[in-house]
Amino acid sequence: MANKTINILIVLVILVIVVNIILFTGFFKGNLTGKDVEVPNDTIRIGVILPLTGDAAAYGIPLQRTTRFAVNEINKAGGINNKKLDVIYEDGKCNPRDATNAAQKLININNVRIIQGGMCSGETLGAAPVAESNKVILFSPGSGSPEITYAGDYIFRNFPSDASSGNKIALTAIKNNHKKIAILSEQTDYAQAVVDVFKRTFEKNNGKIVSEERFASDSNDFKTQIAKIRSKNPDAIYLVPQIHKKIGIILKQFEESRFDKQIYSNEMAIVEEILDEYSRELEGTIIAVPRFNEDDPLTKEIMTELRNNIDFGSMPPVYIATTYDNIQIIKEALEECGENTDCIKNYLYSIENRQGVAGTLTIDENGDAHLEYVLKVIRNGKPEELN
Amino acid sequence: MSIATQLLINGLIAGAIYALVSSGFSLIYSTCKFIHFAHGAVIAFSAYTLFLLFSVFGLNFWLGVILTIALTSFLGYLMNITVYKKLRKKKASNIILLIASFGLLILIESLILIFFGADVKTIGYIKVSKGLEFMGAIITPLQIFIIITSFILLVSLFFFMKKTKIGKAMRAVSDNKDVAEIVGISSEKIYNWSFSIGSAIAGIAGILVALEQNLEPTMGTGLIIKGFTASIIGGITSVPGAILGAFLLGLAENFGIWYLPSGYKDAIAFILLFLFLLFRPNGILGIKRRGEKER
Repeated sequence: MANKTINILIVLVILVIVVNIILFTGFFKGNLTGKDVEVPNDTIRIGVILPLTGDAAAYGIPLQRTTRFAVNEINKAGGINNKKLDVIYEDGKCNPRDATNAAQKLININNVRIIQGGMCSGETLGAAPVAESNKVILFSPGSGSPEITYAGDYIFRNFPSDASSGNKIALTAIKNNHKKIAILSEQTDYAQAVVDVFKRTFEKNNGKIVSEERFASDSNDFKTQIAKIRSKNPDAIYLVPQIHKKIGIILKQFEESRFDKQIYSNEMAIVEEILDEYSRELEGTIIAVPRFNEDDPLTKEIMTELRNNIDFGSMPPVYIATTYDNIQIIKEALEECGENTDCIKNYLYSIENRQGVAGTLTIDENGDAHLEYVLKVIRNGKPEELN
Repeated sequence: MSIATQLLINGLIAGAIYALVSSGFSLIYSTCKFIHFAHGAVIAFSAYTLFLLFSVFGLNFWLGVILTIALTSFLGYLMNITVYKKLRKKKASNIILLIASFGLLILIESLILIFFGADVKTIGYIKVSKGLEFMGAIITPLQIFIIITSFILLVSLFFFMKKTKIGKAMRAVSDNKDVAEIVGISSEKIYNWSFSIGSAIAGIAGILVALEQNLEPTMGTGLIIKGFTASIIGGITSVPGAILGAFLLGLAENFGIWYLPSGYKDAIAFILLFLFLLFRPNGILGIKRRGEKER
């Protein structure tokens, strides 16, 4: 009996080894391993990494709709050099681990040469090393972490680095004489990177961080963090969530805990469903948001068309705009270069003053977008630009 | 002084919510002897059912609450007869039941995500307002209600287990299933009862969490992890133990992050879990394994 089990085990182990040898040596080039699966000649395939499940799906799904819409438009208009654009969507779940797997799959199995994504900074940072080592373009429409600036030569974004967001808030707080600040931030790559930038600028200008609290993305109870912050009696609080979901419940618990200091935050505070429900709590809140002028004629035209065709959900419109632009830029690059990623890389670096839905885009030598952050203050439930 | 009271209150609120999760969970464990992780999904189901009945259909709130508890209890019963019972019939081991419960957890969460989306949902029955001051600490009426409800519920659960026929039968099955069957207790019937009652408690937990926090499709996973930790600390085979563990966990987390950076909140819970698994795997009130029992 025992011998039989051992024999079966040995057979299994041998089988696994043989299969692995076949996979790694590319013994059967093609079908068995999935590698080199033929992409039809009349098709160009690209990959997309987005959070499609979990909390951040509230972001990922409207962006997936946007990409789908833009790609349909391109294909209806004749595709790219008469080739159809085909997209494979992978779920990055807003974390580096799943995004790494997604990038591996897109590159090694689906053979894509360009990946749009990730959305969350964690996704982009996770997928970047895989893309870089395979010389695949990773082009993010929405990741803000300052760390992405140095993530690699093939890593680009048409979304501004949040470094300027943290800087601007720090300088405004100093200007408003809020010299003692408490920070409450989410434990994600994006939020921690922004907090680091903020701290550096704020402390350089003689500001004092009196309390620095963090919360896990799945946490819903902030009462003790708030009690800790209250006990330090700060002049104001800097609130940095990754996604808007947590802002609502944090504001609720601020109110319940009678915490009513000046709030500084990011663009998540003006997501429609948050602004509608918590306008009273948000009154006077100062936030930094990417500059986005919806009254610009080109922007207005395309955003109206997008609104008529897809449901934005709770996504701030600026991300819809950058995602739409992102696909258009990918299309232009493919038209120019085909799937030669070195050529695409140079093409992206050369982008200067490109007019798009999200505004005028210039990509710098680090692959970063030169889009600007502006400060807004919430008055009577509406965000107004702050000078 | 006021800080200590505030931390105590925060700990009690968290503990009360964990206790509602862990009591139903350990009730099911103690009779059925497998880890029913889908209990978390049952809680999320309850929260979304109330959202559907009250915020979407505009039903009277209290009628909605009663219907929600009934439906949630029925879901637990349904899970038992459609999945677990079938597996038990095939002589599936507890590991297989555990994996099945994971499957159910993911299935229900995904269904909620499909039907309701990932957007933030709130049940606007109670307007957000400033909390009351109580001995230098701040607490809202709802939070007082949560603590009192969980207390009443847990006391009645205790008496139910001690005094009623079904409660006694449950303890008999929990103690020794074979002997209980010899004296004429149908274990399958008792399994149905523990799923229905455990899930009804989950229903109440779901409603209270929905009112205190927001609704998210994945809310159940976070809660069941804490509920499971509480059960291990208190002794998974003992319902009063699970409740004790829940309050201990709530207090440890909230007092812990007063001294440690608040990012370590979950770490505190898992370190506690780890310590108990290492040094006292039966928990505070758990019964020792048969071989170790005193004669």
